[in-house]
Amino acid sequence: MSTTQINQLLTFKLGNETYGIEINKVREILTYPVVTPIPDASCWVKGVINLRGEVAPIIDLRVRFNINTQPVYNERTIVIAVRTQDARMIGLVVDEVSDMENVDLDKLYPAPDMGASIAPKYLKGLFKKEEKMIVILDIDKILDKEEMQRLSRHPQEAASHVLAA
Amino acid sequence: MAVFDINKYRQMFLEEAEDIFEIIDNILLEAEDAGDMDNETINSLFRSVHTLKGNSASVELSKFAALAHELEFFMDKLRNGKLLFEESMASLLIDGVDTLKHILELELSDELEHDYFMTIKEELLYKLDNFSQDIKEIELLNEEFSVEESKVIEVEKEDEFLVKEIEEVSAFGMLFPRESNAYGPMNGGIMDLGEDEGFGFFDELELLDDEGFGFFHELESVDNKEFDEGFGFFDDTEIINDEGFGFFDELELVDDEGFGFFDEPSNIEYKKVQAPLREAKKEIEVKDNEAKDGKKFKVDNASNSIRVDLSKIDALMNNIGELVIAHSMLTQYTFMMQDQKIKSELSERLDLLDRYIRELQESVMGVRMIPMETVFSKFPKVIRDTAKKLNKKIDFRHYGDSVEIDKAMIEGLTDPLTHIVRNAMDHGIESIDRRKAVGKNETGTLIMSAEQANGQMIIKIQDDGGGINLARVTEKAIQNGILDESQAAQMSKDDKAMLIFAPGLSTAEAVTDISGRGVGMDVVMSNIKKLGGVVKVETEEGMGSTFTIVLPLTLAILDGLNIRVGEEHFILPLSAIIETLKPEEDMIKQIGDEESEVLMLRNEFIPVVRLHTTFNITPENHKLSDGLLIVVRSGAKKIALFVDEFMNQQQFVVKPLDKNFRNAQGIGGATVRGDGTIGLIIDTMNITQNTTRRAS
Repeated sequence: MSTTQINQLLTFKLGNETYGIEINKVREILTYPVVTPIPDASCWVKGVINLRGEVAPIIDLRVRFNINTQPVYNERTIVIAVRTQDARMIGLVVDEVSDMENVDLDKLYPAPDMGASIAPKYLKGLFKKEEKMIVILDIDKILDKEEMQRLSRHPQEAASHVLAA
Repeated sequence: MAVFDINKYRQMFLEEAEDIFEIIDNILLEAEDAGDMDNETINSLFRSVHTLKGNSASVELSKFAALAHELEFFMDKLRNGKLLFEESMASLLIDGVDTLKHILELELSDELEHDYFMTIKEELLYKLDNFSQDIKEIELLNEEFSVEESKVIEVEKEDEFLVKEIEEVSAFGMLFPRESNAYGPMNGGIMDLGEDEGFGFFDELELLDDEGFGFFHELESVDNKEFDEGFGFFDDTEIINDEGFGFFDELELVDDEGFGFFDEPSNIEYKKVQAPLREAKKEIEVKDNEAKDGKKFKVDNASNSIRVDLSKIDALMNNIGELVIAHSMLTQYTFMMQDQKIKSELSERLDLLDRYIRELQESVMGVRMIPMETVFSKFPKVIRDTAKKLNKKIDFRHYGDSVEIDKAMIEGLTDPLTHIVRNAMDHGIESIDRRKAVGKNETGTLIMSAEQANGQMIIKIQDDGGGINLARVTEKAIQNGILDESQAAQMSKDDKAMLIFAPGLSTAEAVTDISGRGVGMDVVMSNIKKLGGVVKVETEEGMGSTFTIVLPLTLAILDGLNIRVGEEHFILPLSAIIETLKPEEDMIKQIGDEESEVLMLRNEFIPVVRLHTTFNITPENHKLSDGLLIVVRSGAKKIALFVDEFMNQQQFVVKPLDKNFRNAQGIGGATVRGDGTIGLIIDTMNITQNTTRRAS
């Protein structure tokens, strides 16, 4: 028997498409809390919240990947709190949480490199379920520490956009 | 199945070894000063080394254990009077202990070559043997002494009871009688002792148990008084002898080393029994008194404490923080309740809960606090070594040992303190000749003190040396381009003294291996700042210098002022605030464009930082005179922060921002507010860096 990796995914929606992350990364799902903005952060870093005693950043994946640049935040906005490989706790804003799926990670379609707003390096692959496509995100790549350091610090105008909003 | 992880136990051993080394160092230093060592000190020295040996062997540090064994063997001779203490021995032993530390480091990092170890061991043995030979005569005398019981009794006239006991003990020891009548009386006498110390056993037992030694069986056998011949005598003797510790010590000796009394039965010395007996008697008295008081006799300082990882305490603090937030949410919920009766009853209970949570919080904070003694006790050794190298005489005194400090702070504090101390010894305190020439006592004095005042920790390091040569410091600073002549001319004496904290500045002509490279004092400054503290220096030429370090009491909790900037709220650490004011229009001056405003306050010009601009927030007030200014300390400088409003003052639990995210400019950390949201804490140091960069 080959080593088939059956993983459970939590699927959610960003815009019209369905995305998935491995369930073992997910710590909790919460409604959009009161977020304290960080002065010099870029527009997809909404700020920080208190997550079980830890100061955790909130990242809007919709803004991050240009799916929706004018998102609304209300009591129906969902945050998925994930724990990365290096034990950082981070909240991800998504449109809605859909379902759980069992996925064999060995049987994924590779993500096509076509200059999509989500670069292939952030994806684990694509999964086909009936006629639906689920895009499986590589959360450790997206939230990579160095990458966050580099990308989350934005020019002044981007930061002012966040705080003035 | 769990894998036995030796490293985990080694870590435990290391932590313990560090403490033990400190104890040993201090004992030896004292002995070196006094030129003498009493029995009790020798005993505790022996025990310390013995513990090191036993524990290191259990974590498979065999070479270290072997070396420790040699030292222990030597100390054992001291302890049982085969060697008499000499002044030079202390120095030898200090070196020996240093060697031991060195070997420990090497063995832990797996870099210890067998040959190298053997050389070191031979060297040490050679030195130790020198002593042993010198004192052979004494040894001989002792041996004579030991077989003549009558002599012992002569010496021990002072107390008949003891004499009797010695007789019994020695008779027992000599004859090894197994009949119950010969055994009985002595047994009875001992049993009391044994019972007195009953808890002592358990403490020790627990300790030993923790570390993986199993002496349970032996303990039981003592309890039941079922001795096998050899054991019985020695066990009991040692109970007397070592005031309760010895029992295990000796037992262990017998057990794992086989060295000591059994190997040399002819060396059973009555002198050995006799002196400790006196102590034992004292002990019994002490214990009787304490028993009356219903107090537990303190066997060892360490026996009542446990080692806990700081992260566990932090986790506990976090949980309490969560509890506080959950509580405040509940409280908020009660405001919405309609039923007045239930509402008031609920609030009453919530108040009670609030009190308990506070108490819990205080106790946990208390756990983090440890006495300053822990910090001070590292210094006698450092000072001795440095003084030796520099050929200076230093009298070190410390005050405020019992003042408590946050454990988390100690690590960050030790380095800067060591640096200041070394500097004071190298540059501050003059050479013996020089001191004589200026009419000072040839021994320099170095005083360290700690006190708590106004919710801050104040640590002072004071020397009676030559003080800082301000003219030279200023000259050097001008040379290095830190300031220009006109600036220097305006500087006060204290400001000039502060120049020693500038990077790359050393006035020492010769670079020694102790100090003088000009790296150091700036590191001291930055380290202290990291702890949220400040360093000041006062100096009087020819009279000495005083370094004052002011620290917050704890790293975890901070007193802060809530401020509002536009729609956003920030927290400003109270320790940074100098004064707050509502500026008049004529107090604000501009240099060049609108970006560079200064506040003219009394005789100072203080740069203004508009927090709206720094943090990109839509301002509520544009004119400075409509808002408020807070003059804060930013390193050595002052800046005035422009804000819209001051809110309340509060205590905050500081949490790092970069644990899950990254640091932000001008932000030093975060905290969880009462309503569960995050508040950002302003770092005044960081803000200036931002403005200077913008200006340049």
